[in-house]
Amino acid sequence: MAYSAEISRSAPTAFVFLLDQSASMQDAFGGAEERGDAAPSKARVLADVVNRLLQNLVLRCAKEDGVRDYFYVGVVGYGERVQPLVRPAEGFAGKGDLVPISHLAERPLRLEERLHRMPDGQGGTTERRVKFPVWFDAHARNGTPMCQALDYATQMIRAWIDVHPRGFPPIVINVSDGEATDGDPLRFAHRLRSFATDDGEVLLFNVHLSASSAPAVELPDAAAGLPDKDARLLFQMSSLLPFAMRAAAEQEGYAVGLDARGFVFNADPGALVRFLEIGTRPSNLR
Amino acid sequence: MSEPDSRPLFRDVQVFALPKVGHREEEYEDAAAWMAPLRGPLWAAVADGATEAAFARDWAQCLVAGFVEEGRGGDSLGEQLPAWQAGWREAVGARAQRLPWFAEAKVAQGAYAAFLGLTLEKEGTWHALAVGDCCLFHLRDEAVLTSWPFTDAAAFTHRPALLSSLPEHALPPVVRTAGRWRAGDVFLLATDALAAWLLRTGPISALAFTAETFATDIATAHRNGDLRNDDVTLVRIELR
Repeated sequence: MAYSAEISRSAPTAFVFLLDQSASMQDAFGGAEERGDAAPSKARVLADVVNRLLQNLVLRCAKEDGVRDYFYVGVVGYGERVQPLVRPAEGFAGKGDLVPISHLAERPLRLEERLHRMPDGQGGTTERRVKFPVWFDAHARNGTPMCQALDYATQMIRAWIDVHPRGFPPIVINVSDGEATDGDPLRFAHRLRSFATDDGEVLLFNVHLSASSAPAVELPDAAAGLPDKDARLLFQMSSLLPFAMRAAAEQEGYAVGLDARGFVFNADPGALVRFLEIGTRPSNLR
Repeated sequence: MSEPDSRPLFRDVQVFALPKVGHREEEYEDAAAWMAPLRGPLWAAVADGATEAAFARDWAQCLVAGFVEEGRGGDSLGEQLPAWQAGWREAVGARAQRLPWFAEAKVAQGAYAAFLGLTLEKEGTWHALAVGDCCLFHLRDEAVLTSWPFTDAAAFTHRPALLSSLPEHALPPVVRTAGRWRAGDVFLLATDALAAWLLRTGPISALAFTAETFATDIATAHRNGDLRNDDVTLVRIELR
């Protein structure tokens, strides 16, 4: 069955994050509770969500004796230019722009202290100080070269597949407001998704952070009902959720159809993280 | 005390254990323990620490040791769990303080394990309890009398109920079963991947395992894709 390859240190898989850093990301995020000037920018929401997701990925691989390299991670920003935002550590040059998750774990930009509310075991909640690693800060300038970014990701995953032809296929997660300024991203998305390992085609998931305050849509199985053309385009670009991920989504309470795609529209940051956790939580992690 | 009472219940008890293929021995996260005081029952337990948790091996060891060493056989998990959870915190607390941010966060998430405990009473009864997907087999005359809590290899999932090392997490449902044993019976306690494989191939094959054949058979089954790559643990109890 496709998408069932074991993910382990000897058979790792790759995640590539594409982060929209264009000027339009300065606009307010429509899914926030706050309105007007109080609403956070899409860029700020994106940075928060991606930092949280990377933290989750690290924690999935963390053991008492260190972080196991189940995942190799690439992060590409696109705005003023298309560029990798994390660099391979010394000794890993020549393997493409993917970084073992353990290197990411050891090198956040900084650790912030945040208050985290958690159950106290007696039916109430208690606040605890937790360390929150930050790898990226918000950034928003120039146009949205999404096509170039998808092309860049294609190069990265092709190099990865050459070395890991039998593994669980790479997962590309594009976080954007959807307004490409350099052509038709659908064509580039199809090309990216046409590459495959023996275990399945490359997965492309899209997270749409929009200024619109239309209700959030998670893992839809049809474009009808999505509020605008950018959302419909990002939906079309997205891969179908593989069986195991669909099952995981169902277990987390999502109503997912057979044709559910890895796409979220205007989800609030919390929902976005839950979605990403599902998308990045293959049940066969060893 | 009459002579027969002071004889042990068992003829032989063996523990077979292997880490996942490609993993080091110290990365093995199952645990097994047994104890049989001369005039008391025989207690045996297996636990399977969840791969995605840190200090899961410590937690699995706290569970099996707690079950067999406290002399009560853990009949009431709800009552005994707090002490075992405190044991885990004590075991990992000092070590966790010296670790980087990710290990600290991981400890805060707690450790998780599936668990199965068996008590064989001298007068000929047995009872077992379990949380999650460890399995018990009761064999007699080379036939399977009981396969519990699963009878079908397809019943195993990737998300079983697990015991948490954190007191704030509710105790998941504990399942229980009981029966009678006879002289010559064999009991097998197995962690999930091995249990699923035994259900497919027949648990009787475990009667002939030696440490060497166990390792060879597991390696072959894994190579052929018949056995999921997981830590494997088996306790085999042969009664007198």
